[in-house]
Amino acid sequence: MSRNQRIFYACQAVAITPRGAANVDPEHVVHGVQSIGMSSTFTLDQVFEQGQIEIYENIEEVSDIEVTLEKVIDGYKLIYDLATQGACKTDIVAASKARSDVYVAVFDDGLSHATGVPRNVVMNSGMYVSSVSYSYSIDGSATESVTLVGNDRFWNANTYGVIGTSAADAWSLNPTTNIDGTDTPLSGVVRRVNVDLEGSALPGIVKSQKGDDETGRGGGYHVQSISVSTDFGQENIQELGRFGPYHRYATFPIEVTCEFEVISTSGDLVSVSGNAPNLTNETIRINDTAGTVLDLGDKNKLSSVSYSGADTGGGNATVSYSFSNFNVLTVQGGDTHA
Amino acid sequence: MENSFLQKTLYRIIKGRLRVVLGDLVLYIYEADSSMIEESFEVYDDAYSKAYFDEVPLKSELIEVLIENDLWTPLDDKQAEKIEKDIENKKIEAFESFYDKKKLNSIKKIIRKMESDVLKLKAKKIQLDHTSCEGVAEFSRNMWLMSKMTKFKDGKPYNWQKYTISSVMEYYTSSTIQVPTYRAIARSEPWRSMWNNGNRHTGIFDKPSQDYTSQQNALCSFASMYDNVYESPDRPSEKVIEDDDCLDGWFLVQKRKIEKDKKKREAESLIKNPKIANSQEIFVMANNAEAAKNIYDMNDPLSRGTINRRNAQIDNSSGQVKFTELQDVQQDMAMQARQATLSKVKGGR
Repeated sequence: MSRNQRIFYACQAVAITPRGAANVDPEHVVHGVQSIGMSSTFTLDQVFEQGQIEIYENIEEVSDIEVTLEKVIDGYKLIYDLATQGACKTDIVAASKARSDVYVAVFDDGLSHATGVPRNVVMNSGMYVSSVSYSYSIDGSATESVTLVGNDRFWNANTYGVIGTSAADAWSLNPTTNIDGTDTPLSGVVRRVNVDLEGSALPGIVKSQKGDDETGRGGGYHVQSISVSTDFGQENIQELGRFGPYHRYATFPIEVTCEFEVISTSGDLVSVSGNAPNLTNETIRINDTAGTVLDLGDKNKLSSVSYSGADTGGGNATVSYSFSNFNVLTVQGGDTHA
Repeated sequence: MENSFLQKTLYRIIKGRLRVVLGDLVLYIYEADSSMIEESFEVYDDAYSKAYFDEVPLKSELIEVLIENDLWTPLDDKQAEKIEKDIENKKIEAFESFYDKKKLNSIKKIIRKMESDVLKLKAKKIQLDHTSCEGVAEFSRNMWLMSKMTKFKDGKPYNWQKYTISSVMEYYTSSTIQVPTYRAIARSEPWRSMWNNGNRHTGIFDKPSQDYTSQQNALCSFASMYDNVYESPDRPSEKVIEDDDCLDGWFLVQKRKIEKDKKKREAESLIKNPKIANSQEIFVMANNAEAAKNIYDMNDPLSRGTINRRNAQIDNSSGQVKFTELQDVQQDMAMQARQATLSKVKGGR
């Protein structure tokens, strides 16, 4: 059962370390974070007995915690990269197994910057990546959103598992020394102009709504937004004689979806035949100027097309092309962090 | 308040004059019109210049004198602010206790006492103002205005042979219309009919609003205020409207509700990611102290209390608090357990 109360904290820094790291160092600090959400779910199991109205025992099951972080893509290390210690660059299986500790530092409202000793540090220990999504749109900054799940959360301290020092001690080296009011995005925050579609590998159908003007990196494809997402569906594995799970596993196969919204110049251009297969494998790789490369491999297939707009209200006709693959997503980027 | 007194005051406001009967002499003190007020500032400027060259201190210079002689300290202002805040809370309490007359009366007594304390504290800072350039100039201006405003019954200016300007001014000051009187007039007949039937700001006093006297302006403002109350979908009962303290409490409740909704909307617009928006604890990045304060202000009193309790618990612990050991989390878990038990028992029937 989840809790209902909503609390806002002023947060000035978040860091993701490999599980069990003794200290939070500057390279663990996530830059460009916009907001963080934390939730917890408690499970209680009531046992009654015949002949007694009172509860026999109210048993607490292991609680699930969840942390969702969102950052702008800015040339600094991506959340997915930090949370998987770089495993996201090679394959999704390794990334699904990687564990990390997520520290969120809460500062007093009297301080100007994130430097100094935080008021409190929340530590989420042994977190697995549960879902990842990337979003590029024409009217905002490109964002990365990552949800991590686990079973242990501490406020201001931790002596859990392999970590020998408290969360506050781990933070004591002042890792946020660079966030002093002069911190700027390494590559600049990625906006629509920074999406390098000409350098990307896109399905042919996405590029089919082409116009005459090819100014910029957009290839004249009239793409309005791109979103890439996947959900690992991390499940607990329990064992007899142990309260907490001894492992979490991703529920393979994991579907990776990629959706392109394109302004239509000539319908959705998708032909469907009942006599032969209609789809072919497509390569999808999305690049931006911050060095981000979202590689979905070469076995993506169109899963749906929707055509909308062009109504009497004057709206443009848009086509949404959804592609999906299974178990292929590698993410490069943020390697320029000093 | 007596109805005859209210009507008398209303017609004083409408006519824009105060009738003064001094023995067999009847005088009228007319409210200053705009050209008179304009001219009065020349008197002010002249008096100010004269006082300045006579080395009369400026108002700002008197602050030091006040502090040196222990007549006032900045703490008095802070104390006054605090009491004003407390008065607001008491007025809300009054509104919420409207039907408990005994409690309401006791709250009203406390409010009156607090108001008097605030007045005393504020008076401390201005007690020497009359000795400053600004005070001398303002006094001269008021005297000049009074000399022009006071007329015989036939409209001719009074010659000040029998009574001095000071004595008439004293009478005028003692007849100042108090806020409760304005409010009582503004919400009752015959004013409400006049207000509703008139063409509001242009037709009520048969002249453009820039020519209204200060009293007429004040009455119109209060009338508009009561319009807003009557038109509100959450309009309180007539009895509450008639009670100034309770109505002030209602205003404050509405204001806080609006502020809370505004903060909620701000918070929601700030967090577009639905997963984060629906989380129990939301951490919003703050890049300066003011932003941090604004984020903390987005919490409702319950959440703010939870933060304070958590901080206290963490501070009092040996530096390690597991999430499930936090008091508010334990309370939630206990509540969930009770609800689960209830539903299980009920489900078993």
